[in-house]
Amino acid sequence: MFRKAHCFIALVFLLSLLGGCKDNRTGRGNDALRIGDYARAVSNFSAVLDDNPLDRDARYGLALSYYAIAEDKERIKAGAAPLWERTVQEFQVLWNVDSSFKIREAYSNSLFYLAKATLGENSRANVLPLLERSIALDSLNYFSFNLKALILESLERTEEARDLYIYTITREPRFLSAYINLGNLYWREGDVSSAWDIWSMGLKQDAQNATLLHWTRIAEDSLKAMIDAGKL
Amino acid sequence: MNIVRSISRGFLLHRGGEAALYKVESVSGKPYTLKLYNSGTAFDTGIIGAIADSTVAGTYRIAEYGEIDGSAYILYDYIDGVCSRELSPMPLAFALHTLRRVVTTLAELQKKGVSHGDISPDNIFLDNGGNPVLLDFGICGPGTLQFSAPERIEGKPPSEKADMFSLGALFFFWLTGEQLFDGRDFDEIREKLRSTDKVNPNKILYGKIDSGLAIKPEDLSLLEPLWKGLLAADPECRLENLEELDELLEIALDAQGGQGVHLARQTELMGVTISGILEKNGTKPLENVEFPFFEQEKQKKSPLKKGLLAAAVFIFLVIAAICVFLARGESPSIDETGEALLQKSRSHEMGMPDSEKMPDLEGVLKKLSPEESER
Repeated sequence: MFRKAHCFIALVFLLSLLGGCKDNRTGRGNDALRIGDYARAVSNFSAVLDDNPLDRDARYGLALSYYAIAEDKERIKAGAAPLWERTVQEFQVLWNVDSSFKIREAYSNSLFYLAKATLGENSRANVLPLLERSIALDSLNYFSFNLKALILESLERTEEARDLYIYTITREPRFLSAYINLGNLYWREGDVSSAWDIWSMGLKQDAQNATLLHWTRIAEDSLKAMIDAGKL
Repeated sequence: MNIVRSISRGFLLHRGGEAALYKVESVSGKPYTLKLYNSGTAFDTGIIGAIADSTVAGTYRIAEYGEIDGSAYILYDYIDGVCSRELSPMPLAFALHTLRRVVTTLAELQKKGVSHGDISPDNIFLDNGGNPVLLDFGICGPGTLQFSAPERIEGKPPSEKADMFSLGALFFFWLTGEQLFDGRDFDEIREKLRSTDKVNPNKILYGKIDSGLAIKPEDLSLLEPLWKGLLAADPECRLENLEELDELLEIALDAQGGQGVHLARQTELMGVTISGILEKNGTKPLENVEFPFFEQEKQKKSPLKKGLLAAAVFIFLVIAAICVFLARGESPSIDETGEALLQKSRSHEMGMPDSEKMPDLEGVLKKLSPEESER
């Protein structure tokens, strides 16, 4: 009986050892990812997943690798949609293994990027479900709120869009895109005064922002013209 | 399972005041020496642990040690050899050569912080190749009285300097077959040890030359620095360390013809002597001893032991499972990478002008910009 017990202990040790080997490969993938060697990172994480598709770290590493590759493509304005699609796929699989808070942000962000890249390729694509999923995963993902608001605005759901912009600015006052877009919304409605208010609020967050400076100046000029014309 | 638990019988080699020695065999047939300490005596587990873990040549190989039935024990590889007491007196060159090998072993152990503490003729065996093997480390008391340094009798712990004193007394014994510090009782031996500075070993050796001691008068001058450096009552007056002793021994050995024919001849003769003694010992009837208490113990405590083992295995498995689970479930490094990557990604987004962030949206969604409205 004791001999059997010893064999069992030895087996557990062996498995732990194998676990250690696996972790080394995951570690190498992680190192490669950190230094920007994404191809090697993908290769290492994939090798671990070939042995154990349930490996959470390797799956997360693989998803992050695709994320980084897609982001690189995004920066050079190359068609990144297929890569974001692949990234989202990996996060979807990862979600089945680990649905902890740790991966939610990255998963949510990759959905935002996929929505954005999809729109870049097809302006009529319905990406709202992607953005809603993104927001459901991370209720602080203001990029998704902002894009969703822009889409709602284009669909003439102006009030919903306005609410989202205001919600975003309230929760994250440093999110300048929301000031710009909310100002634009007021401008298009002909409410120059409100537009100027919003853009000015944005400038308080970043006085050097070129876009906000540009629109604020235009709004000021318009307001002056309106005063001169006796419309205000 | 402990080897000692599997031993049911053996042969009594020696029974002393401190312990009994048995020649035993494991279930695999490998011979061991079992030193079973008498009740109330024990060894320094730190020293024994260090020896068991070390690979220093010239010491016994401890297979296991611990306590059984309330008695401390050490189980070590059986040495097919002869106790150096039985080989004394030895020829001078051979004694010098053997002592030097012992010193080399002790110096190695000293680097690991281990002193012997009980160097005596009984604790050094010579195997059938004539190689010395040191036994019985980790003594808790002062050691064999006639070979102890004066400070050891006063209760000082084992030390390099104390070992050197014992080596001096041992060397004298090897050359003469007699104890330099002998006496009728403890007090007499202690007094001799305390007044060791008054003892002149060369004078004693010289007196024995006429009665057949195989030492030439001219060799005695070679030994003078050894006696002075080893047998001083004050440890501070002894040689600095074992390395210095080794140098003195080398000088003395070189004067004796070094590693040449002289030593080779003596070694060959000692080898014949050792073989003869081993052969004689092989035919000597040994008391056959059974260890029924081991078996009984095994049976008596079997359910408890099994329970404890099962509990230990269970705890181990739980710990292993937790480790494997943690290793699989969470790796701070990959999570850190994820956080860093996301932070970098979002900071890019936050820092970019709106037109950069949404390159196609304005066109795609056909929104009116303030500029367009102006136009």
